[in-house]
Amino acid sequence: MGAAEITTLITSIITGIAKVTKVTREALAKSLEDMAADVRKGGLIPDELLAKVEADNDRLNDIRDNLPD
Amino acid sequence: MRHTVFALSLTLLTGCAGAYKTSYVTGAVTKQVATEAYNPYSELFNDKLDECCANDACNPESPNVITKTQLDECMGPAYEKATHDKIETASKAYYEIAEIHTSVMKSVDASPEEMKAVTNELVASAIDLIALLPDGDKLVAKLKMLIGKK
Repeated sequence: MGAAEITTLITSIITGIAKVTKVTREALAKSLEDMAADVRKGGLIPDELLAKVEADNDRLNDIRDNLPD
Repeated sequence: MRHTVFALSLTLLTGCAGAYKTSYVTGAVTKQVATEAYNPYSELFNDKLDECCANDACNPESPNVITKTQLDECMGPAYEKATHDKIETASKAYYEIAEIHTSVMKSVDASPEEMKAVTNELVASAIDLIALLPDGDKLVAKLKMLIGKK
């Protein structure tokens, strides 16, 4: 096998890998969206956690602020 | 030569996919553990608040009204205002890094190093948060076990 053939082979493989990687990453990103939807149904999204923490803190503050020192 | 090139390419591809998968799974597990850790705390926190405010004790117009200090004492160290303020601060930090983690994981251009770094930050901030909850040590140990972190 000559140097030109090896170069062509390597180029083809790298191009192929780049395409497969891109497709794979895009597919994974899409599946991430699907999984994020599942996670959302289970209430596992961090913004929902933060909202719950803030709601609890607001409730405590609303009560506590009205109490005498 | 051809085999070497193929093997190298395959290793590179597997490495990239592996980094993505590891970061994704670790992130998802961390987010799940963090939320699942807070939910029971929230229930107990609200139950405790109801208990402390029983008999009109949190009504400023009531003769049974208690003071701020008495409420703190009734809530106990795990649920009092100072602790919950720390939890809220940790939750905000965790939320911010979780948002960054999600966007990095969705990004097609993110490098494996970038994914790993943001995942480590996510795990660290989740640990900071859940360590503040009752039985925080056990929860941290559980998270570390699930994600295979020592």
